[in-house]
Amino acid sequence: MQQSATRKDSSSCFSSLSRHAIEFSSVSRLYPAGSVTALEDITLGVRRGEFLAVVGPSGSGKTTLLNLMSGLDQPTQGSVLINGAEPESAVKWAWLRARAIGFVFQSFQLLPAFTALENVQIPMFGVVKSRAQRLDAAHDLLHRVGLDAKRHRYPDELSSGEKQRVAIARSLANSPSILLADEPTGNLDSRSSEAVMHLLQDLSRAKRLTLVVVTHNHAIARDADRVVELFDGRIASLTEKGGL
Amino acid sequence: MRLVHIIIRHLVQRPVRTAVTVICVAAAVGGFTVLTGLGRGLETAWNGSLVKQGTHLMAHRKGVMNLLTGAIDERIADELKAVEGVESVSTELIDVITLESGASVLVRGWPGDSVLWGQVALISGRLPDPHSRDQVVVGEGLAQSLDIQAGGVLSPFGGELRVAGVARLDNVLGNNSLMMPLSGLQDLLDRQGKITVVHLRVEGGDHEKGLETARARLSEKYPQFLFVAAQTAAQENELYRFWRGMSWAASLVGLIMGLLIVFNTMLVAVLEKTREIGVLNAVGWSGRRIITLIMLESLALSAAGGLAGIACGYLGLKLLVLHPKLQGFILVAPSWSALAEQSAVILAIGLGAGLIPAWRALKLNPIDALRER
Ligand SMILES: Nc1ncnc2c1ncn2[C@@H]1O[C@H](COP(=O)(O)OP(=O)(O)OP(=O)(O)O)[C@@H](O)[C@H]1O
Ligand SMILES: [Mg+2]
Repeated sequence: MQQSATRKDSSSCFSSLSRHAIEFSSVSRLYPAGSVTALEDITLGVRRGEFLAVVGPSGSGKTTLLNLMSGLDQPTQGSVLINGAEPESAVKWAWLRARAIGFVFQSFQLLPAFTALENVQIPMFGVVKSRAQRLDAAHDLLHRVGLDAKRHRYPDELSSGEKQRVAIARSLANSPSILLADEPTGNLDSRSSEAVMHLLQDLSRAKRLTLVVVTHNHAIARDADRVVELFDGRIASLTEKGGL
Repeated sequence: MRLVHIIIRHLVQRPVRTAVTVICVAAAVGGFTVLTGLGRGLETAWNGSLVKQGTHLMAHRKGVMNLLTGAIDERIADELKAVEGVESVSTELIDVITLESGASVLVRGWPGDSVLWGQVALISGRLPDPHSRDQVVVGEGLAQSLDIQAGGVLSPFGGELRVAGVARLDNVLGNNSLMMPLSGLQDLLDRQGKITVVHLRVEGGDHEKGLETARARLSEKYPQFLFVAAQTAAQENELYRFWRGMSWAASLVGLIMGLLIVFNTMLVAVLEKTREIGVLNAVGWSGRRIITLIMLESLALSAAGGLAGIACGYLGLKLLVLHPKLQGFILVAPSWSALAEQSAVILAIGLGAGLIPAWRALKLNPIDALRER
């Protein structure tokens, strides 16, 4: 993927010297309960605007890696930098999740009591001040994921593929520069899998987002700029696209 | 969508629980409104009536729980009249008597030359003959509720009282009582030579300072009596204070129950919504916003119940004071101080009940929360 040096994104307010959107240096995550080492001594830079796929067997630490990238979890050792700076508090992490980091989950995580249109607006509270702007933005996002017609449906009234498209729209609510997806197609059949992945890639390419996708799906990994393979909490391999 | 829409959606999502919680808070706040409203109504009626009829200070016997049982020798009037600064003195014998119809009425005996008769504006009939033993004048409100006119007869415990006239007085207590010559009432009650209270007008008595000076002087000279200012007569009454203490205690129990119900509802809501709170956290909601959401939800429950409770409470009060045993003793009127008290109670329930649930929500581990099914 080509990267223009003059590109502007919502992260430009951070130290822009770093060419990495996310940087792990010697990161370990230990679970004292059962003394499990979910991740051990991971050093990894995710380049701005790249599509990085994370693969590995079950229990290898993929979800843990993603949770550390979003600040939902904290490393027991090492440091995580977002756009060149280390978020030093939970408040700062929440601020980043609201504005710079979008998240897509395997199990969609839509709020059942709210329509598609409302779910997309949830992250905008406190970021987009006016109600009308929130509504406009949500309309626009649902249009982009092709769900105009179903915007007033509740999650229960949507297919799995549609739910995930709503979730993608929600993850883009505040125009983040980083999009993290944990097995976004894990609960989808192969047809909607493909549609959702194309959507993710198209949207992130259009906005030049940094996209990190955890997946078991080799087809998805093939499309990525780089693939990192985890095994037992360590990086087993890191492959550039050209190298495949 | 606004924050209030999220809150409303949450509340209507579990309609039965919300309704039960709101009803419980309404019952608690309604009880509080009625109990404190009765007290306030009594104060308004009593103090207001004393002030309106021109009393500055009221004297009664010290050390009696019930003012009505305290007896004073009527000859005290002449002594009090001689005290420096005292402008006028009016004696009064008061009691509550039960008529054969079951109604309790306030009956007041005044000497024939008392200035208190000045407030009696006849609308029919005439004033009682000062030497009569059985003639009364009936306040307009009481006459209406007893459905009696001039010329009629009232029968308290076997005796007979003739209604000489019906009068309008510009204070609730007077408008809802029987007034008769002092000696007649003393005979009726077998309390010859006795009175219950003395009303005094004093120099400078319209101002707090003058009132306090007179009160201090009188209290020193007559330590066996309690001199109370008309404006605060009710509050200084032992029986009333006792009753008010009881009613506060009863209300408090209700309010604590209301708080616990809201607390329970909110705690269950937070536990149920663990996953949703995890989602809010993941999409970048700050801890402060999550706390705000839960506190506002708790406040919404308490406010909905509280407002319903206040409305029902006032309605209840209005109906309650129509009861023949209470009529005329209590004046129900909405007041700012009552509203402030009620708002404080609603706020306390809402905030108090939401605190721990909000804290629980804040302390949730987002990863565990998202894993919740
Ligand atoms: N809260 C926890 N307490 C203890 N151990 C944990 C906890 N969460 C994860 N682990 C362990 O950490 C390791 C990595 O877990 P992780 O969820 O990151 O794996 P994964 O690669 O995402 O697996 P999967 O493909 O099944 O989703 C596993 O051995 C897991 O059992
Ligand atoms: Mg996983």
